[in-house]
Amino acid sequence: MDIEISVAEDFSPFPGGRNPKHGEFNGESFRQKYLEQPLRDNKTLLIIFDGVAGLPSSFIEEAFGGLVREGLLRTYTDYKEKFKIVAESPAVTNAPNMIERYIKDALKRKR
Amino acid sequence: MKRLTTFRKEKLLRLIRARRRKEQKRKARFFSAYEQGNTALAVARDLFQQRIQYCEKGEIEDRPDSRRIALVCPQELNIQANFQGTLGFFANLQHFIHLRPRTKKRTKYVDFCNLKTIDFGSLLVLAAELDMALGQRSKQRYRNVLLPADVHLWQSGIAYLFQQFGILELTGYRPREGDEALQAHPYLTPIRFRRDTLVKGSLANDLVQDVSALSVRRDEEQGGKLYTALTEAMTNTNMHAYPVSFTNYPGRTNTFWWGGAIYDRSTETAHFVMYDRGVGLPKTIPKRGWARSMVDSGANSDSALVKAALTAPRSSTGEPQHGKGLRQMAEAVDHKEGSFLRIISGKAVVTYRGDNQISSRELPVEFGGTLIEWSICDRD
Repeated sequence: MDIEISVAEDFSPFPGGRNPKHGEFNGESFRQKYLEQPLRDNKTLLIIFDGVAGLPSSFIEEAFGGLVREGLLRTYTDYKEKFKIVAESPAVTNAPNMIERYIKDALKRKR
Repeated sequence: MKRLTTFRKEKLLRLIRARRRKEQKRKARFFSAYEQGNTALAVARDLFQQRIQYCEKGEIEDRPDSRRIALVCPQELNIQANFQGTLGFFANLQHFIHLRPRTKKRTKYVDFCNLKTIDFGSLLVLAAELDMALGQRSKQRYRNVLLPADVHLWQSGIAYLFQQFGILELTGYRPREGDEALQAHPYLTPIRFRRDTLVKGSLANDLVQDVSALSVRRDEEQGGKLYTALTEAMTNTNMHAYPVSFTNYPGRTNTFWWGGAIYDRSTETAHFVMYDRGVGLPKTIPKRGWARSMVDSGANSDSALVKAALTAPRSSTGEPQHGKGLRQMAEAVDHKEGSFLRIISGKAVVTYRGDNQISSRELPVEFGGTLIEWSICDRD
């Protein structure tokens, strides 16, 4: 993986909300700051969720589903090739499933 | 010379009085035009009048000895068991604080001497109402308007609950060392309430961690679910509870949420409560598509709409990526025996007991805002 991002250390251990209107550590800011540019540069990403207090759906949907809406992920294979998710602590073990579900939903809607 | 001065003084006074009358007339014209054109205010006022009419009139006592005019709190504040009395007290409290004119001779005062039991939802609503009235005033002399001088006369445990939850602090009461009234409650430990307008994950985490420290078992996975549920509730408040056209009556319109937590050692249960004074969940559910079909089939009550939003999530934004928050709030009680999520909003009371067991009932009048309670049982 080209780039390693620890959500808790690089962004915030307390993410929440969809866009900047909702608060500082929202999904849109995370996507714009850490995910969009590496994907444009065709780089692969290792995202570590350990240390995060929890995974609000609005945050995860906006961060990852937003990549589909922005045209940075076109297929599910794209996601599988470019991302590796690490979530071992009990509070965030469902992160990979959630992300996959939101990406699939966003892809379905785009078709 | 003296006569001339008196004459000038009188002239000046006349001028000042005339100017004041003119200003009062201008203000009256402005407010009447504002109220006539403001349908949101008219709606909010109607709802408030409905609540006042449904409930009993508040017991207000004039106490010349202590120069106070006191609103007396009932014995029991419990939204589930004593809805009429509890809602009545809150409606009367709002009227007492915001609409009763101030006089120089009497201080407004809320008498909690009769209060014997209070449920967790009511505790947070009370904190929110007092916070709206007192919490944002900068000057200490205003904060002391409702200073509880007779805490020693309160029922045992009530003063402790109020102090730990942050209510006494709002009123400006400073506990003294060895204060007998503030002896710990035998089994309840409240965590100080939090208030904000934004989605603040750190505040949600504080509540979860503070309760977790009191709990017998520390379950990190459950902590993550609760954090998620609380932040989703904050997001919902931020996005939907206070639409631009919404006005609060009485009192100011602020886009706050309030959150608190209490641990009950007798039942080993953690209670988390979130409250907003907004438009209410049923009004934010769009009356089109799936909701329209419910209205057509006759199930258009508030409780049916909230129930449907919990089981088949949709958002008022109409965008398909939204509307998952409510479902995630419910996930915190899934697979936890004896736990429940209760949503009181509009006229709806919906209780979710995990794994799609839902019960609901309809209230006679609108609650005013949204109150969400998670009750998480630690026992197996």
